[in-house]
Amino acid sequence: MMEAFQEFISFFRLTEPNVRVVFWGSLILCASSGLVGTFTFLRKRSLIGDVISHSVLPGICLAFLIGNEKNLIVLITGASITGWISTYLIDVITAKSKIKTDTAIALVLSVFFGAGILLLTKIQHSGYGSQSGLDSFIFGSAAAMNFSDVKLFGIFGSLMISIVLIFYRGFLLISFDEDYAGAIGFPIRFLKFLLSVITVITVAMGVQSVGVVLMSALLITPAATARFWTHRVPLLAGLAMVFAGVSGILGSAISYTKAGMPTGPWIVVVVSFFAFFSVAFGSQKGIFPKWIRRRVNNKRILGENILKVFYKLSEGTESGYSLQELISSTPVKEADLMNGLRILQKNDLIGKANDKWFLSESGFREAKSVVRKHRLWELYLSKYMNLKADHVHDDAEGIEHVITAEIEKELEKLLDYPTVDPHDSEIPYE
Amino acid sequence: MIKEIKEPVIEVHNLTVVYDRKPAIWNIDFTLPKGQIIGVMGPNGSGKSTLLKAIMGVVNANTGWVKVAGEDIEGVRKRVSYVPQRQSVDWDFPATVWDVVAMGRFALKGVFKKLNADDRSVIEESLKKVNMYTFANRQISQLSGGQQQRAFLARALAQEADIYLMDEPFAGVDASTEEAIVQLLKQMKKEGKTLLVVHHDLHTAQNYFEWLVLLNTRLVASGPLTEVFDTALLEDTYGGTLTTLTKVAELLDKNDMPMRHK
Amino acid sequence: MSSDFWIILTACLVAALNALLGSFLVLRRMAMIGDAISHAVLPGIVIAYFLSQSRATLPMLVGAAATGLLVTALIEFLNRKVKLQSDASIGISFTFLFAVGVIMISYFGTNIDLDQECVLYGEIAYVPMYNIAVGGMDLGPRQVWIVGSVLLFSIVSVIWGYNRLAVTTFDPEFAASVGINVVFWQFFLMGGVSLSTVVSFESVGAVLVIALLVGPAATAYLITNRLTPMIVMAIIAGVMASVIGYYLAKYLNASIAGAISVVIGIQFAITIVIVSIRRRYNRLKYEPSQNAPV
Repeated sequence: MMEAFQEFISFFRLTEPNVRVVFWGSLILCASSGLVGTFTFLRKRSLIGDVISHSVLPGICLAFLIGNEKNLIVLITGASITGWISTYLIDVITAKSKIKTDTAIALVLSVFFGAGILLLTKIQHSGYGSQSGLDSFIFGSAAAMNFSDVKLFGIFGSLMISIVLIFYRGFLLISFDEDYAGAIGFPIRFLKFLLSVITVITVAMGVQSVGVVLMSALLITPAATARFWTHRVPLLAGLAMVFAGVSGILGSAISYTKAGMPTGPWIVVVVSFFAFFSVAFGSQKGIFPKWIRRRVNNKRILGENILKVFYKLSEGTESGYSLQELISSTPVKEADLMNGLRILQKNDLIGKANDKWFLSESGFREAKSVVRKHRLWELYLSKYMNLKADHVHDDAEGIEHVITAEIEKELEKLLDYPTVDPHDSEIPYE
Repeated sequence: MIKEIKEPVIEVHNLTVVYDRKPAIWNIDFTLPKGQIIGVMGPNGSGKSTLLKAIMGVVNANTGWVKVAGEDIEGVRKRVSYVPQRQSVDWDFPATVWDVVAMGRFALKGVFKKLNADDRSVIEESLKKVNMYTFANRQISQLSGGQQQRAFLARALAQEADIYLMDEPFAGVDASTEEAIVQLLKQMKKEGKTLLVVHHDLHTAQNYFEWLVLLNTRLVASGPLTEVFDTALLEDTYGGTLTTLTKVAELLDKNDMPMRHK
Repeated sequence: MSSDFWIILTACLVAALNALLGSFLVLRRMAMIGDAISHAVLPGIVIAYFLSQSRATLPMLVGAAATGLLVTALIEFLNRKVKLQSDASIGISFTFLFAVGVIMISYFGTNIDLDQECVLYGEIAYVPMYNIAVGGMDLGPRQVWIVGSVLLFSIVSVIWGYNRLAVTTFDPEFAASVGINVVFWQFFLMGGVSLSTVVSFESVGAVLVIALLVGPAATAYLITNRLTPMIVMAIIAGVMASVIGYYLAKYLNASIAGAISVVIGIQFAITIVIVSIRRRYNRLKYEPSQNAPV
């Protein structure tokens, strides 16, 4: 265990030339798939990435059989061709028959992969043996890269990034609203073609470090992860590249600690870790921030409800009340009530003297405001939503906490500065 | 204009349904009379379909409740038939018209019983009522829009219910089918059935319905056609949404606020 | 019995099982959920192998199928609760579980007789090597017994729940309106798919099983008009592909599972071409009458 950890650390010293190759290779490959994946994600075609990545396998094997050696450019070309054919076939099948997209995807993916397996086993059984090194494309092997490979990846990678930068607006528009893009004269067919070409090439390259089986994760997961932190596309693409690149390096480093360990699965586990972390803590839709927000809301609602109790008990006068009196005039549980009172006291909205609680001046204003919003909303419901007076209270109990000052003004104006609510209670103004 | 009914066949009380944190219907409250053809009208996205689904318990209510024939829906399911929008299913499904109508019988069956001779004659009758008997063995993907709708109605008829909830049965059907459906509805009414029909064409509404429910997220009106079919009320229904209500709904969503606090 | 016979029999049983359940997946537009399940059961299978030492027993495999339900729950959670778009929910969930499975194999694969090749395309050729014997009598390969019993169980279950499965597939809203528990039948089917991908694993691996689930069902869907014939035809297509695939693999000296998938693809391609040509021909035949005055 300790040894493995030291290996892991030593990876990052980048002293060995081999390690440097793996480091830069993984970074380039994974970061470019993070970038390209952003657009497949935005176009809600993530699973197309899955098809392409499985479908490059027969291309790799055929290229190997034709070229009779492991020449990276030939392999990538072969991979790109079958990868591209697979996406084309999906379009044809769904357009020409009643087969739905999901079935077409699953079918093309598995049949192409099956063809790849057929060819791969054929190659292995016909004397090339494992020297072919094609195995490394299945689950990825960053270690199988050499310096000239990385140079090639570097050139291709920068080409992909440049294309995305040049056609950024077009890609964005076809991801967001294809029809609109067409209507304002964007060459959508060309843009879609270009995007599918760079997706295919990115996948064909990426299988070197992630492998055909799991390559789709590197298109899908980084972009989906980034979505939990931002809704702006440039930032989304940037973050996706970072998540993918870091996962590529970390995954390679971890698999480096065990001989014969493929890189792909570890890269995917690392990127998935980022994803699950973001699902939990992401600022956009993360579970934990949402939970905090709800807690804060609930506290505020509790406070406002207690203030209302004070207000209703007095309807204007400023005398104090004992805890017992408060408990008996609200459905709020005693523990919650105590808790709420404490918070309100801390905020100087209420005070306590001689075992009696009373509203402070600012508390009185707050209370009045909540009651005003409640009664305004009741009036709004009965006037504009045709609800009877005895049906409006429950709704207003919830909505009074949501109404902002701006909406309050709007309601006042809309209802022509009313003085009483549907129950003929006075609406208190400042 | 909301008219209350004593001993209503359907009673909706303070019903709110939130879809994706957006209120589809908000605090709706009405009662409906028995044995009438009732139209539910409102602009697109006004919650008409949601209302039917909520009555059937297919979607959950966030607040409020619905009573059908004085009971919770679970107790009276067999007496109520629901006809979803035609476009809600995939008509490429490998089934014949007969298969689809037979689904209406399975609804009444104990868990895994087979159809008997009685069931088969009910299916046959239902197909005849909608003039689809000759199409019984036709694959459903080969049907026209009107024929698909008739197949759906036949399935509902096969349920032999008392109350029918139909979602846009006139949408995208030819004129002869529309006429045939109207005749069918009138016949069903004569047999004492209650029909709640979502509809979108104001011109024909006057000829089809006796009672009208106007909906636009909130309830605008519910009452006899003569009293509800009124310019002011219709303008209220179709004249855009309530901006304040929309803003409040957006705030609920944005701030993760509960619609109701316990 | 020759080992050819046992291998072909196993392949046919696996194909029939997957075609049966795959028909519903195709009709429910859940083919990719099936793909996700078939990948995601891998960690469950590795654990089952680990716990039962080498060859997993049927009860262990049933346990492994729970991973399949886990991934459907995870997808549902990401999609519904976290509001992540459905394609990404599927993609994230299954790649993660599959990666975990491959890593587990790398770390203790040697102890449990599982390797990466098996994950990719199964070991159907080795099926006749693991026979069951009771009281000295050779009862044939255990794989045949395992797949056979799950197939029998699936056929009985599908017949038992046939009407509910059909109605919840065609029109889930109507089904709910008559009081059918749509969620239950969903999980019923997903449970079946999980179990079938798990027991198919040894024969065809975790990746190619999706060809057997979706391919024959898609071919049958193109040619038939009713549900029962579709299922029967899917099973026939699957069995046919298994037999042809076996001999193709033998001829090429390559993976049997790979060859079966290729045959499934060819079957589908031929069918879709014939169906399109026939449709065009029919249209030509009817064209004049459409243009004729009414």
